[in-house]
Amino acid sequence: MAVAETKAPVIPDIEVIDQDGGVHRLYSDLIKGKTVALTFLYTSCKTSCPAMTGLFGAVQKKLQAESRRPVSLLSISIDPVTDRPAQLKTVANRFGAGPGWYFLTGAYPDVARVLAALNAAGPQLSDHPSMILVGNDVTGHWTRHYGLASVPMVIDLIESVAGPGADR
Amino acid sequence: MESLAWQDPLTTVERLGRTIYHQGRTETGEELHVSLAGSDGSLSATLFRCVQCHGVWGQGTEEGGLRVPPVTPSFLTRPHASLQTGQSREAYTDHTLPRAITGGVDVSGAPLHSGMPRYRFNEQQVDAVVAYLKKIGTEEDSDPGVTTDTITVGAALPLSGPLAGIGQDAQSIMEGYFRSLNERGGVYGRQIRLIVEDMGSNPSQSEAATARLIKTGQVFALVGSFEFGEAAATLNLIERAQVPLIGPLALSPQASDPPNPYVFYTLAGFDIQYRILLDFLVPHARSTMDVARPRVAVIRPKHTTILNTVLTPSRRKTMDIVVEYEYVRGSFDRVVVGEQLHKRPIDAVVFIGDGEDFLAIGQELDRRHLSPMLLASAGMVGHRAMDVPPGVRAKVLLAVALQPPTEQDRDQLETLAGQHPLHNLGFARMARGAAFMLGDALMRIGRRVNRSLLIEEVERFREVDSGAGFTLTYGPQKRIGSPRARIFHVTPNAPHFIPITDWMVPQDSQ
Repeated sequence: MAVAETKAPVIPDIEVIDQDGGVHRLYSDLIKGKTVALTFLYTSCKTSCPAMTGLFGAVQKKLQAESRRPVSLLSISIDPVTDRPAQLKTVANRFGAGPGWYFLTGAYPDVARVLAALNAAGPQLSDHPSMILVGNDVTGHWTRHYGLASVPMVIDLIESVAGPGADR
Repeated sequence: MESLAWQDPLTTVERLGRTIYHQGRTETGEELHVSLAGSDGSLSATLFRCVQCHGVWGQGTEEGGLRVPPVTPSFLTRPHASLQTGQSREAYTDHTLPRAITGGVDVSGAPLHSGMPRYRFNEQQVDAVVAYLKKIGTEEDSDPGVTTDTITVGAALPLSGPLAGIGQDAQSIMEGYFRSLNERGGVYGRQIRLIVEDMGSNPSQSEAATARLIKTGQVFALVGSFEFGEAAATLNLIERAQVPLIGPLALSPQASDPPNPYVFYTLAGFDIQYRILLDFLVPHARSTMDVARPRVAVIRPKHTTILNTVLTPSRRKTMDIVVEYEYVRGSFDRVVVGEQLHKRPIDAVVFIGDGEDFLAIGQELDRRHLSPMLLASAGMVGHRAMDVPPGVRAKVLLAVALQPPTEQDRDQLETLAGQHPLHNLGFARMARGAAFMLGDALMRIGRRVNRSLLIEEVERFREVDSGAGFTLTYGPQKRIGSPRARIFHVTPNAPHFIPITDWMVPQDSQ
């Protein structure tokens, strides 16, 4: 089920750390001026997160194979206390993450702000909605898909947020 | 022990299916693959093991808004309407179930939910899974070592050679613990039976002894096996065989990243202890010596990896490491080391090595009238720290992972072991803790027990008192139950070791 956002979310520009220990500003470094696909995970999840991460891996391969314009993939941990860069690196390696796919963690209150801003918070880890957000910061088009998707569905979402005249 | 060996209630084909369901690979370790909906890519089936989503009894799970249906016989062989996809399907048959597993389509050919991977199994493999699914969740669906009245566990211990005392202590402690448990009725009607294999005092025999426990002994789990410094082969075997190892007796756990999911260590290793020592050093130097940036000498053997996670850039920033000297193990030259330490002013020496060489450094510092702080792990240098000349000894700081035992601790252990003086109280307490962990986790699981549940149950330990001087907390990625240490002073008279800090964890693990 894909739902277009009525307005672009305001993403808190928190400090995040990627799987290689690189420090970024979530909005200004990783989203501003870009097309992104964003999802949440926690590394101890056994069901929906591996499926979602596997999906992102397949999406990344597809995007690379078709050399479309770059899309950043962001997998943000909702369990930042457990998921430090080392844990995220393990997952990234298992799923063959290439350049442009960031597994992100940060300070707990900061991550909570992002979850709230994207309406993705849940009372417990295992309750978080399985969700993909796709956005184009240039056009301001954002859309989200609840539940797991297939690779073509995610590619369609990426197409759908590209504005007129997008260079693809 | 062969007379009691476990008889597999599943057929060979069903057992293969169970291995694939639980492990995402075959018994010979053959790599299997999956692809995800709409993707022609290929990922290891070990990332998408059936058991992760459908559960150990095939009961289904719910996580992240994803409701995964059961795969029990009663569920699959009846028509069903899915709440997740809104689709209805007829009962599965032996003909249509393989298509669901490999092709991702239901009875009528409609695609399954995109969370269900397409498993690239050959015909024999998919037939094995289908055969296993007829037994899933039944009494026969068990791991090795579990019968109606017994759970057999194993320990690989040094029972001969110079380390035999440690192995004998551990054996008698664990046997005593399980005997007492069994006398109280065992665990949900089952007796715990411990079998022990001698690994000599030789690291090269550890893997073979462990393999005998798994293959011949058919143990359900390993408990309190002794771990040598070099344990990679044994740990790989345990991971391949997917047999939990509860509480290995390890002076310093072989921490890997990611951790081996089957091995639950108890106490902090040297890496953690040295991280804590250095975290303590800076504020301690400030408060006792009014030194903002201590000047530090690091003395270590060549090729040691202990400091890899200790001397991080952020720790180096807090101090001036003015000497980094590596000696050759076995030919420690106290004069050369003494010269290193005399070259420039030093506030602290961080030492890695054994008790004799630690003592030599202490004597050399004394001879040269130097008295920097002298930091080491108590587990490395042992009681030799007490022999350091008094002036230097007053500056010795030792990291300790396990509170020194009281007379009462000693008496209790000896009673449990039914034995006179124990050879090594530290390892004896680890063995006591290991036996406790296994028994406690089995108690929490209940009558229906398997290895996956054992691992999940130990992962749920939060500040559980082992009764052996340490508390244990594990988690999905957490495999050292008590990753803490505290720092002790050494005194000439009993009790010899006096704590000067509370329990600490390394700053970079907070």
